[in-house]
Amino acid sequence: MKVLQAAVAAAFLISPAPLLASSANIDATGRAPTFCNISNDKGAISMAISPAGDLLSGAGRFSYVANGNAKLVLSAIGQDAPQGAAASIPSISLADLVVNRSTTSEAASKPSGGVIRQEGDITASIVQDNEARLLTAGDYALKATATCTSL
Amino acid sequence: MLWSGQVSAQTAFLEQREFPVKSGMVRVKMAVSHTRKSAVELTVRLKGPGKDQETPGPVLSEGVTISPDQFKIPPNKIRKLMISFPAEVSTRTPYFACVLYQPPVERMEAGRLGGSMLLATESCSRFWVNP
Repeated sequence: MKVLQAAVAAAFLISPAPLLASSANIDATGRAPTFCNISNDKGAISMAISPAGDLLSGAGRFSYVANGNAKLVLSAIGQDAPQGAAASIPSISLADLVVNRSTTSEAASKPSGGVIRQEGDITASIVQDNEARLLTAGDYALKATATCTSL
Repeated sequence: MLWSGQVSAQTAFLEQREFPVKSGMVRVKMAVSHTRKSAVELTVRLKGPGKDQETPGPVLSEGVTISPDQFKIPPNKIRKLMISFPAEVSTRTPYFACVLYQPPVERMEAGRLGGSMLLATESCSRFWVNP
């Protein structure tokens, strides 16, 4: 018995010191900055003439992402037309978000009100606006800027 | 990690959204990135208040320093830059830090009948300047 007691006492004496009680607070924080972005996924859009000769039209694709409230603005359209061309009306639209038919004013979408991720068609057209109901022959070009704003 | 989603677009990031006027100047730190497939040239612009507090106004240039304001940047890289500009505001006023991507112009084939449309895209972040 004494031998056993001695063995237990020896084992206790040579055991490693008990670990001191400790704690660590893990405090992880982060902040996602708000942003928006918009891309014209296919570059320049070619517009083809309609069989009736009264319309040029073409389509591309856009992507629009915002992780908070945001809105889209389409600038006034810059239009190049053949010299002396009969009257026509340009139009650019981004799906159902915003459309602009003006060469002097911008057009804006409603604020998204929150996160949004949308892909859709960019539609560009030039339609005649004259008594002959025809587009004058020649080259036409439209230019505009689509701006998303993170609010 | 880039907070730009999966869209191949350019993004403007601001570290903060409220800036004071110090000695008549405002200094804004921002970062720009994009996720296109190859390096592209981006242009940074400062816009003032527009027709309402949610709409960017005209591009501001007088007294505005953007360093750098135009640069080529590979995809998924972040370029930090600084905008400084003079401001005299009596109330909290919105400004807009914007990054513009202008797609390359593609020449139409000779003799081809039709037209083309070029849509540039721009991403803006609104910030406020306080008196």
